[in-house]
Amino acid sequence: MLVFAAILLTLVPAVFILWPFVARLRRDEFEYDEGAPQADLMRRWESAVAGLSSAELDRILGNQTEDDYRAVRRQLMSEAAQVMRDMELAPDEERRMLADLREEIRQVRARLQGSDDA
Amino acid sequence: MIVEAGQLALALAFVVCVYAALASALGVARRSSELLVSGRFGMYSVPALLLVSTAALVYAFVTSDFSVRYVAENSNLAMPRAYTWVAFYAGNAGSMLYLAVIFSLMSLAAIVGIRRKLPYTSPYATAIMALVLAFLLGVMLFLANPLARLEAVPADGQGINPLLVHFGMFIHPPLQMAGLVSVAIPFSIAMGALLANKGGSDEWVDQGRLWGMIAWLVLTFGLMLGSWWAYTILGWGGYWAWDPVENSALMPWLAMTAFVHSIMVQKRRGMFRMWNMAIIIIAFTMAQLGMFINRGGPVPSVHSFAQSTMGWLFLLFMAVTLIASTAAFIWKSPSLRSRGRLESILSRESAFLTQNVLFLAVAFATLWGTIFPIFSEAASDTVVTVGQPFFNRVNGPMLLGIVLLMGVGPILPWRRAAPRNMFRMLRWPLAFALAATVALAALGVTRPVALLASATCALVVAGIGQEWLRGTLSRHRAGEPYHLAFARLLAANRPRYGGYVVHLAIIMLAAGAAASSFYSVQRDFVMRPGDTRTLGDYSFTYMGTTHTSFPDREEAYARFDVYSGDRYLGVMEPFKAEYPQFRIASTIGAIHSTPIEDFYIVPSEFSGDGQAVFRVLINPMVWWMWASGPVLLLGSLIALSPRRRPAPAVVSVPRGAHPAGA
Repeated sequence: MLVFAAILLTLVPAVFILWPFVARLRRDEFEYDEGAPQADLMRRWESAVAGLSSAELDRILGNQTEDDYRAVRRQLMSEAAQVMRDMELAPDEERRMLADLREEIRQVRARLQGSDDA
Repeated sequence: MIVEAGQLALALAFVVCVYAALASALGVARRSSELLVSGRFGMYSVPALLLVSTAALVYAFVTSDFSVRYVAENSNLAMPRAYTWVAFYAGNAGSMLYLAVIFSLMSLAAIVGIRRKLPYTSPYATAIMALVLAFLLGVMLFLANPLARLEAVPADGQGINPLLVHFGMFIHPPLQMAGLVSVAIPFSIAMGALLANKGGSDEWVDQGRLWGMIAWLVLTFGLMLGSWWAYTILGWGGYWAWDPVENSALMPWLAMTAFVHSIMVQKRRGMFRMWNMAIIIIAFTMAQLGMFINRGGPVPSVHSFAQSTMGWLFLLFMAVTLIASTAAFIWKSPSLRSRGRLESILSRESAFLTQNVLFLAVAFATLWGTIFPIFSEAASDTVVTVGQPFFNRVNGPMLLGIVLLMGVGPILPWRRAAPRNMFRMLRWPLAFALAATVALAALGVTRPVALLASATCALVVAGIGQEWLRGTLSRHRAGEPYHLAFARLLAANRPRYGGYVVHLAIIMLAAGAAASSFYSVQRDFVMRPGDTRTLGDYSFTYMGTTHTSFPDREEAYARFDVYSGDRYLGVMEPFKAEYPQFRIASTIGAIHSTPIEDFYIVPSEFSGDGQAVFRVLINPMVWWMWASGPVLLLGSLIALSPRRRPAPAVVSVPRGAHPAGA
């Protein structure tokens, strides 16, 4: 009985460990690189969008003056534009991203002014 | 046979962990997907193996199999079956198994979470988690095997430590241990990113933050429940004694608190990359130091039941991981340059940095106070322990500074704030703080430090209230009812508003701690049955004591009729039990708790002639400390709850694209 239990217990990790060698893996583990330039660009884009949302929120709550808000917004918009340039997008893709950005900011305003369904 | 199967599973788990570490490292070196997946899958099988070992130990407890050394040492026939769970981790070997099981499950969840999102970081992180787990299992296999057999089987076991026979013990030690070991998860992810040369990109930050928050939350509840246990069962009327074991859990908590804040700056601004790596190394080192002190460190502690000689192995492992991670940090530091820069001293980033420095300063001051007895003994052959006054004096002002930053920080926007606007935003919170101070002074709070602490807490509450009010009013003006406007405001920016709820919980905790530290009243009374005494507004009549003998203990229940002014509060029954076999006494205070104050009676001594000595305390606002727990949990859940964002319109970026300057 103990021998049977020992075999069964050993089989559990053995199956797990050997499976990738027996079954042919379809996916290359290194296919996507989290540090690749394109991933970094998307992260910078999302960071700029989050910054704009946050600046919008702080302006509406009164934490940020109009002057500071405009300066920060200008800075973040130029960062976003730089990211888009680095992405080397086609003009229609660039337009879509800009539309996304405007929509994100509109939603933040809408949420704070109570007209969304968040 | 079941016990032997458990032993085999333990040994197999150890071998698999070593294999997983090697396969992951080799997989990266040889760019072999098969090896990587094999190592990862190996880690997936470890929880199953450890659950077999756990089941074997539980089975041994339930069947009172005293041929298993650990069962004989930590239970007996008289132990209620419900305490099997407590007995499981009451000793070193069992607690090691518990740690290993919990860590294997956390590793499984973490690896599943990062394998797709962080494919380059994941193998390194997996290898680190596998090594940590292999260490725990190795210690168990070679030094403290919970399933080892005894040659001579005793008729009965030694029994569980009586201090552990308490409801709090069902939750506090497992949470505390899980909290300490869980710090290894964000550490592994961060170190994985560093070793994979991805520390300079911020992709690991989301998973690092998630696991940092989980570790922080578990540690927080472990600490709170430990304090509650000390307050209710240790019978000294307090909840925090700056004991080395308490400190050893507080230090990683402080470092993790700093980490979960500063990681937000990295996520938002691409800053503090080196700082975050350094903090997580410090947090993991402190967590290991905690495990070392818990398991036979050289510092005297009230947590003597956890003492053993294996602590030194933890110290060695801590030294090795500290040296290795510091070397990796130095080696890879050129890749950790920040993307953004600190634009103004008046900004949220700046507030986070200041708060981080204060958290670490408190952690290191606590560390110094904790290990000072070792240095004093080495220098002068005399053990000088550092007591509460040192910690209060050194840490008190810094903790107050942290609380102040909780009030000021959230009103500061990212990047920069205009000084005039900051003061404009602070005027109402400041006015509220002033009003609260005046009101408290009128009520008789006269100690300047207490007034300062109250004013700081009031400032934070008013600051949060102001932000909520402005946001809610803004939405309400557009036609939403107040309750909906408030709920939607919170839902729209969960990390921010969840964080504020956590801050409120911390204020509840701080207010309770400050009030009970400054205004606790304590007196000892010698009483005979029928005697009535008063303390503050309370009067209490000692009705007598009932003594009961059990095979393993003598129990004494004292009985009091208690009044507050003319109002009858009811019967209070403090309790004391003596366990001759363990040569310890367990006292449970009787507590009448309200949000204003706790009336607390604890027996000190019973003499044969009916006379007894009782310690009676009035502890203001302790109730708020325990009430802060659910609030803190709620805030953390709000902060961690995911918000569905629309996918970006453009997901395909040309492969050759590269950021300017890269």
